[in-house]
Amino acid sequence: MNALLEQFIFESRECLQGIGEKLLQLEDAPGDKDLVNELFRLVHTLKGNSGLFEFPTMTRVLHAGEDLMDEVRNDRVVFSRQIADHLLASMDFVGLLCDEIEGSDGQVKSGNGNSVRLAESLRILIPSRDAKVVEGGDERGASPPPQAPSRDADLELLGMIPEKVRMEAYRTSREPGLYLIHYRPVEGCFYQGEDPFHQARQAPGLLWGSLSPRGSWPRLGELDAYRCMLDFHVLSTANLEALEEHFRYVLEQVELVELPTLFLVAPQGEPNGGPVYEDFVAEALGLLETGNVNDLAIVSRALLELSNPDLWLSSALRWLLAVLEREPENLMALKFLVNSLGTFQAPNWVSITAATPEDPLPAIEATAHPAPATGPVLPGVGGIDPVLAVTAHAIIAIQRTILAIQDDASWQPGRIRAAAGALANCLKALGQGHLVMEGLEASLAAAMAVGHGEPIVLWLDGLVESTTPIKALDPPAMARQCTASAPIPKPPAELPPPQLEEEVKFARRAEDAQTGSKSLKVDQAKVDRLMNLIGEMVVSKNALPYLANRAESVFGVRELSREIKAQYSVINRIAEEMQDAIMQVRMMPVSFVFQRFPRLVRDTSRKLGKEVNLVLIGEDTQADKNIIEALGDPLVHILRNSLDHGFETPDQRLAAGKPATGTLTLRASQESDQVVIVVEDDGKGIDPGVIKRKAYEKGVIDEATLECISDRDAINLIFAPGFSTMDVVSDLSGRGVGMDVVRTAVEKVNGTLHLDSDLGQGTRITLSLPLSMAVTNVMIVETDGQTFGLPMQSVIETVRVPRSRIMGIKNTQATVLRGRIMALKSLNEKLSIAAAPIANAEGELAILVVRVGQEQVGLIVDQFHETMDVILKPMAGVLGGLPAYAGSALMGDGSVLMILNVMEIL
Amino acid sequence: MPIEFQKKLAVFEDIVGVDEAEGLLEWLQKKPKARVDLAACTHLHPANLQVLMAANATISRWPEDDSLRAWLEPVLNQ
Repeated sequence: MNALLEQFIFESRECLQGIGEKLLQLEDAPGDKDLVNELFRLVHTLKGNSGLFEFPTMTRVLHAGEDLMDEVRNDRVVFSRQIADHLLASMDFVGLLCDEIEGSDGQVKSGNGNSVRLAESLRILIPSRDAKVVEGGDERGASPPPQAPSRDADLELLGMIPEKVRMEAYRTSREPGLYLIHYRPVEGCFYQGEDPFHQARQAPGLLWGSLSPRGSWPRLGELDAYRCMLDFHVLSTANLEALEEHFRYVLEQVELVELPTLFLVAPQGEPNGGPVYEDFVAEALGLLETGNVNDLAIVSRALLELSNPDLWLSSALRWLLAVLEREPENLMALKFLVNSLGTFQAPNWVSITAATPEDPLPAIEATAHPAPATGPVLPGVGGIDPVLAVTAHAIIAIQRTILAIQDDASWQPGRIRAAAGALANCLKALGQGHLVMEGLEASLAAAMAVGHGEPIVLWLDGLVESTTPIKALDPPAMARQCTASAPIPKPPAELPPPQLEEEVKFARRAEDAQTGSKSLKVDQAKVDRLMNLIGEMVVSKNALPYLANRAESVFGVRELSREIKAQYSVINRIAEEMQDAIMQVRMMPVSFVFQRFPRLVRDTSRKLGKEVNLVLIGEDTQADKNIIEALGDPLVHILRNSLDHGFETPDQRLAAGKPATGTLTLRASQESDQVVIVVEDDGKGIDPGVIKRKAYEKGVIDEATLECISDRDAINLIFAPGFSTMDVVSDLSGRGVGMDVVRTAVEKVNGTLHLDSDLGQGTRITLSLPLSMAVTNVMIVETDGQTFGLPMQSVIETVRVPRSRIMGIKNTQATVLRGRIMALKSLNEKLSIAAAPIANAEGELAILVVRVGQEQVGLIVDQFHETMDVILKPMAGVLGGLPAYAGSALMGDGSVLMILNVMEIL
Repeated sequence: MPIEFQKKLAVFEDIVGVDEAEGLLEWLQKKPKARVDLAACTHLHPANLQVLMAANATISRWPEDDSLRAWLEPVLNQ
């Protein structure tokens, strides 16, 4: 997982925690404006962050949450416990997504559906503006989900699907696993680069698809080709997750309707039938009654062979065979089909399957088409799983048959009781438990009293309206029905539309096991303390070699000396690792800042009509967290300036003989105790003349300075406060604060800023920032009895040169080293020590060759010592003003070593 | 060119993108009796499709791509 994502998850968790706290506080003090604002800010931040990544599921919910909080903030909605509940549920969801992102390395696969539902539930709490105006604000204004189609529309659509496709789908699909997808793209979607047709065609598990215009087409002259006027409908066997994944970016424009597979069964064809088939219907029903499905298949096949394949009858027979093949146990469905053979009406599956739980529509109680031979078995089975309903009805029918047996067997009471028990359970399963209370118990008591099942049979028949399959199983019941006078229970009142309330109860209980966060939030002071402690430890560890030497030289115990040295090497290793580990805590790679630049450069250059290629080098250079964080804003300013002022347009570049695409290089490296960041462009460079004039015009410099200022100093004037070369303030730069802010920000962290520019060739800005505290490898040298350290990064080599080979050129000394002339400087002289360099016994002088910029300079010292790892502490306070020293370090024997700043002294 | 406009026939080829819709609309306005050959077309952006539907364009040849043809056949005329 990349660092940015890690950071995002970390921050998101913090935000979520904050939101949770604020919400709870708000419940105690609903009127607290500050809390509301804070809450809004947190949700807003979180949403903004999530938008950086591709987490549409998360952004969708947060966006809704943000809108809601905005309403609360502006007093358009009163904060309520309900709002808090919904927000908390949403935040739990976001938290889960965070876990998932972390667990799966940035992938979010699930939760699309929940995301849409949660977002809807939040939006419902936002009153629509219009409603408020009219209704005076007390209307909740919840708009129904857009364009909820009726079941009839779905059925009609299914009817359009060729029988062959449906048959195939019916044979292959699993339950539940058949979805009708209505994709209604927004009108402006073409402008967002979407291709809804492609999206629909690529839907997983696609069986069939169609498209429909949203209305009648306007005349061609008035047609806007780029306003999407098409709806797409797809029949798919993919599972819900795959579909939600596929449509994840447009989920709010997609309606997924889960279809029971039986809905596919709809015979089509020419209804050129007649009474001739009635025999078949009667025979088939008879076969079904005896459960002889095999024979039914045989006769159906025979009839099918005799019939014209285009006939409605043939189609129905084909379906009958398909159902026999796939679910021969589904007698109810088979019976429906057989009955429909006699009526030429497609079996009305709605009536038996009713609404599925996923379906947002209320159960359709009334049948859409009158279907004489088929109909609801028992009233009020809405909301019941169709399979369950069919099974339950089958069980009821069997119980009825059992009860109707009149054989006066000795076990009759037990049989009645068992049948009644089964009936009661079935009715409860159908959601008709109240019937048990009302009638079943009474009729059971009556049945027990008379010793046979007839009272229950009568009661059962009374429940059932008109002809039903139950009666078809037991023809004598027809006769009895006339006498049956048991009250027909009223169908339950129309089912209330499923409350969003219930659907979105998506909550992670507080006590649910949470996957522990892997990052730890630690106060920076604690890390600093660790850092100081390990520093002291390194210093005291360095005392051990001295001790070993003393043991040998003063006390003459060589054995002990060796043991101390052995121990030292162990402690040394551990201390170094420990130091490294603690440094790692505070260190961050510069990529943390660099990461956002590719996008920035891309967007900005596009906006400006320039072509710029960003090259990032040394992204894994590490530096202290403070430094890295301080780098961000200055770099953004520098990059923007470079893009805005530095680069020419492609035409100008070509005219200047440069490639049309400019190169912007961002290079990070560590040089001794500094992180050096170089921003280099190959643009037009900075014209010192223009800068001078502008600076003078803006009053940044006076006339005298204008005359004598060097070109190099002039271009550095762009860092002066109030300087701007632009006459017009653009949205990118030109307000005259940019580079000044950069300089201030860099100086705040003790960094330096340097600018080089070649007119027509490009500009280079170098930022040097201290590592604040890092282990520095130094070379220790001695001059005039004092020891000094020099960072090893600047040391090239140590040589001894005979005095005779040192010659004077003008007033400086020089020598020839490997064929090159090298300037020599005396360290004593540079540090104003009035002592001559001391040569060794052979008359050779110790020369330390150091790098200064691109040059090499020889530094004459008295003596070389060892190199050493020290913790470089920058000079503070009064000593901070001494530029000759980069800092100080504690030596193992407790003495202080001054580290020289080579650049400054030479 | 994904659409080749001949005298009275527009021949669609491969993938016909969103940018073609404008030109197609203009062409169909000028030649209301024109026919469209989709045989070599594998996909067309819905912007083009709705232009064809709105213009009630006559299709001379259906796409060879069966899946595309299944989508288009019910909504366009031959």
